[in-house]
Amino acid sequence: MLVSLNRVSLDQVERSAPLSLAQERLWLLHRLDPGDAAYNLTRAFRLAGALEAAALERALEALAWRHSILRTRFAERDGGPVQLVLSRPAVRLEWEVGDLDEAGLAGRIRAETQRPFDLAAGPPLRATLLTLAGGDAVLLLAMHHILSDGPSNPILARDLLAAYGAAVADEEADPATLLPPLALHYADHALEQRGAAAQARIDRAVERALARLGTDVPAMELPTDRPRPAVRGNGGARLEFALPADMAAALRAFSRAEGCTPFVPLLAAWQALLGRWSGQGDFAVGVPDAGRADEALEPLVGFFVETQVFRARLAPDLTGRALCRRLRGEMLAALNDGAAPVERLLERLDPVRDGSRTPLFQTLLNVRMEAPAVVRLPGLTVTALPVPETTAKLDLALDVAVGEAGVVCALDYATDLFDTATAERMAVGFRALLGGMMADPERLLADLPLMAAAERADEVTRWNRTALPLNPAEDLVAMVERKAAELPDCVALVAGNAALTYGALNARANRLARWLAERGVGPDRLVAVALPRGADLVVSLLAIQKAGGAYLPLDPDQPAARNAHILAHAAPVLPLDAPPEEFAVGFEALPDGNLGRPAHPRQLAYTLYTSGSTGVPKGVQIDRQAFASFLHAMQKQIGLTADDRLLAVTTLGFDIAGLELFLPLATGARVVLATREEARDPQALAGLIERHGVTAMQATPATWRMLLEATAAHWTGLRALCGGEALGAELARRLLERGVRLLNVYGPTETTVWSAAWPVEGVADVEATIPIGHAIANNRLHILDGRLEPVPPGVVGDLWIGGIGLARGYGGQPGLTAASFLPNPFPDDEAPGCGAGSRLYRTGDRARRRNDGAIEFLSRRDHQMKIRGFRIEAGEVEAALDSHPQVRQSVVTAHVPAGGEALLCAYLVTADGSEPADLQAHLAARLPAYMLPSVCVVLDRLPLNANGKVDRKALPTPDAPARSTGFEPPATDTEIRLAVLWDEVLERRGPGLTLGATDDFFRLGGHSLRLVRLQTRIRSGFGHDLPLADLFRAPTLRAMAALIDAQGVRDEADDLAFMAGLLADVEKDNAGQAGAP
Amino acid sequence: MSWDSPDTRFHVVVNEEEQYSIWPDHKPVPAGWRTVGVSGPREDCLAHIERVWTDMRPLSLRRALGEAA
Repeated sequence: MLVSLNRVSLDQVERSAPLSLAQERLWLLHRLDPGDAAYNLTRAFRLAGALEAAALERALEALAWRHSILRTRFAERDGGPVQLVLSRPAVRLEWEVGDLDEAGLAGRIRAETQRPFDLAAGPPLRATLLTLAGGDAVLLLAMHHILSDGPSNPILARDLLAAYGAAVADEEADPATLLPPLALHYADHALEQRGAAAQARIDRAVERALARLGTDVPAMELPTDRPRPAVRGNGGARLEFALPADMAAALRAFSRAEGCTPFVPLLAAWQALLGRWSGQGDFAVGVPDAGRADEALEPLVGFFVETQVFRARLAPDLTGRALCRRLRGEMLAALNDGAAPVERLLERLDPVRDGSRTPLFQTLLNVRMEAPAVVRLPGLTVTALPVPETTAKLDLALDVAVGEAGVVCALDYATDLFDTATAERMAVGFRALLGGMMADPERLLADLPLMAAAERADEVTRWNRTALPLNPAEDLVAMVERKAAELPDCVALVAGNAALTYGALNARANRLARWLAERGVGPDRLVAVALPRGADLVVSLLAIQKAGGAYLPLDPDQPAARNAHILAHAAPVLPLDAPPEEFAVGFEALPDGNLGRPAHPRQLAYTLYTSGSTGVPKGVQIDRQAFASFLHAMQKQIGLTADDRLLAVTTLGFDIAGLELFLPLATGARVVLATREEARDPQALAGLIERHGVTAMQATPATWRMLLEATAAHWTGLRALCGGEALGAELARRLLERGVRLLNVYGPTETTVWSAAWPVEGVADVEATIPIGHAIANNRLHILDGRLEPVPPGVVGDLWIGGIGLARGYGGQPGLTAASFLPNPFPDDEAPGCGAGSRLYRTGDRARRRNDGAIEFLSRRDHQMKIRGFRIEAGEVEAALDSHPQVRQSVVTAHVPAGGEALLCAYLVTADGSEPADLQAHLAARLPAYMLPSVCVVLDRLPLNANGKVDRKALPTPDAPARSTGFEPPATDTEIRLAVLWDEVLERRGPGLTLGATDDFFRLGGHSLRLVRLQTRIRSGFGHDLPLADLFRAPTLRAMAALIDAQGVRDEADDLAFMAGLLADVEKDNAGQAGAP
Repeated sequence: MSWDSPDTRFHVVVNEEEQYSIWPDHKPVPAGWRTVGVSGPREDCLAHIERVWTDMRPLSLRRALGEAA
């Protein structure tokens, strides 16, 4: 009886009030994810000395008497929140008696930060007293942010100290009288904020903030260590670091000279860091502001903090000083204009709804001008304990405490997105940038260092130690001739039913080489090769090399005009397009010993024409030392022996064929040459692999995929080289399942076939990117920004390649060559071809280095898409598509209809030739909303070019998207009933406002609070309690109706249980009211 | 100043193999390269190179072949 009386009195409500705008946002976030502890404020204090626990408990109670917000709970009324101030404190000091050691204590504190609150059940406040092994105690104070904020901490500490002192002094005193009452309470502030005067003030502030901000703030797109989840998680961690003393002093001196607070240069450095890290000049940063404009609010505990939004517009010619001066002006303007609540800005800006990130700003900077509060209690030594940050409200938040002792920073980062190593690197970047800016404020932001000098040097050299000494005499010809001498009777080449031994191959090539030499073939002279894929193709290529010449592949399947252009441009000495017996009189009688012609390492091995961006093919010239080094480097990677058989499938017109034909011959292995027809027929390829005991094969992802589709065979131990296009995780996984040893290879024609390689050991996450790995021997990979400076790992830059593999250039195109091959600003003598006077080739690919040093290829510069202001990597969308079990292959492109907005188009090959019914749901669960394709086109197969790569230019133009255009009336019963609820919640009245099934809730003026109302109405109208987060992700009438339908029809038993629950709720409410005074 | 910025000015540079290239005028010229006294907008530099770099074979190869001939 006593217990129930207590309960009733606890629930007695002194007053009710609306929520402040800031509280309302937190309440909504809590509704969205009630288990989220991201908005817990947890403090821990070690209490050494004579603690009077009873006095401490009374002091806590006194605190809640004085600050009524600490005895406030948050209920829901008519689909909206209300704060109920209880007539007496409900706070209890929970004792946890136990002998915690330091590790146990840390674990207990961590657990406290992760324990969510129920805002409705009672005041979201917990006080716990822990006893430690040494005899000390620890006070854990945890509350929800809806009750308090950072600037409230000193107030809490001061009042708790006073109350404890008073409680110790007078053991009899009523806790209600230990502290003087306040004249004004948080509920008054919340009520005032809803009044007409405050609304007018806020409206004015919002107008001014919008004028400053503009209405088109792009989202910040920081490169992340893992794909951004479709719905942002709240896992977080904190990295603490201090600024060196001299930098802190420089910060103060600079601020004094510029007449600003240290906040200004700190924000400038933070914006500059984010800009450099993301490669994005335009984004917004949130900056908390104490928000207690009214003096009467100063002694109150409560959530008053406002967030100012600063839009960064970082032009390339901006200096540090210029940015600081601009920010100083913006800060003063923001102060002058008054606080514009973020929730009001959001209503006006209506940013694209995207559950993957916070709207408007994704990073925060908080600058505090004092040291963290320290609580002192009589007879006790009190020290604040570090509380680990285990949640993240944003992608990144930097907290800077500027105190007399120094400047201490804490970087909170979302652990879904960033590794600790990346956060550490950002901290280094922040320090380097701020230091650089203080040292020379006139420097351009873009020129400020992002790494310390040692780290920059490390980035250039650490992953590029690839030296493999070369003997100039050990070129292709020498290697093959040595094998011919060692293994004359071993089979070198199988083509169809024909087989050639090393001895026979070498002899035949020697005869043809003599014939060619007699006709003027020699150093730097070209011979066009247009032979079918048979033994004589290989004989001819080798003969050209032996004669000292260079081969020029001509693909008879290419358009005649293109071949005519190449022949005219390259001017070969002669073409080879038939067996020697048909054109070389007396061929059999020619001597067949090695020619022994001297060769210079810089004379050409081959010239290969690739398509140029202007549509005119350009002839890439590769010299003998580049090709020889490449063979040695790849042999180091895959180690072929005389027991190996490599199946060659690639057309000679694609430079990677050079590896397939010559690496086996240089190492004594056997080439199994697939014909053109066989290379396109997966069954034929599978047959060749089996029949010839093939142990190595190189192909494009498209060819590997084709092979996997056609057969279930296992190729245990097969060395599988995959290159020419990005290797997706899904394909890698499927290949590994077949038992192959997979090597992902990467390189442009201009740097001799491959420049990077990565052995794929396993695929942990099908949505991860498979790296291209590291530079192969005598190659250099650099990831550089627009000013040719190395970027830190994690940051996206342009991939440049250096080393011995670089082409001489583009034949007959000196200007194009000079523009593409630049002086190497990082020369070193470690490896041949990398020293002073060497060059770098700009690949046009975007890449970044992982924390383990491996490089990830992201996209061609020209494949990066921008849709509705969001940058989108096609590969990321393709990976999500590929992870659907029905999808065999996918390509994603942007299509811009005439006069329209760019659309994201997905082209698919599926198992049954139709779009899987659950594809949209599959994608929605994996990708942020802005990355969902607007159009899906299912094709029988993707168009491939002659090299086996997907030909994006040959993809059909999509039809205008059927969805989202045209009016479709609500069709199902659920849609019609739901439309009525939408009309109510959206307050849509009057004729002509018919809802369509594809209408978007948020586009019709819906916002989060209205969604909560809708949730309530769905609960009463349909009897389904749908999580807010699910509704958020199904914003169209049709999608939402489908969500309701998916809940299924409640059966009778469920209905009964539901009714019983309702009755119980009603009875409880009545009991509560009966007990009220 | 960005490499791709239309305002960036370049030097025409050449290495010991008499290979030509361009280099932004605000950055130190990398070791093994020297300026040839021509500088200006990117396209002007490339046009100059198009005129003067008539034999694209590296100098060492040209010399070797010249001696052999």
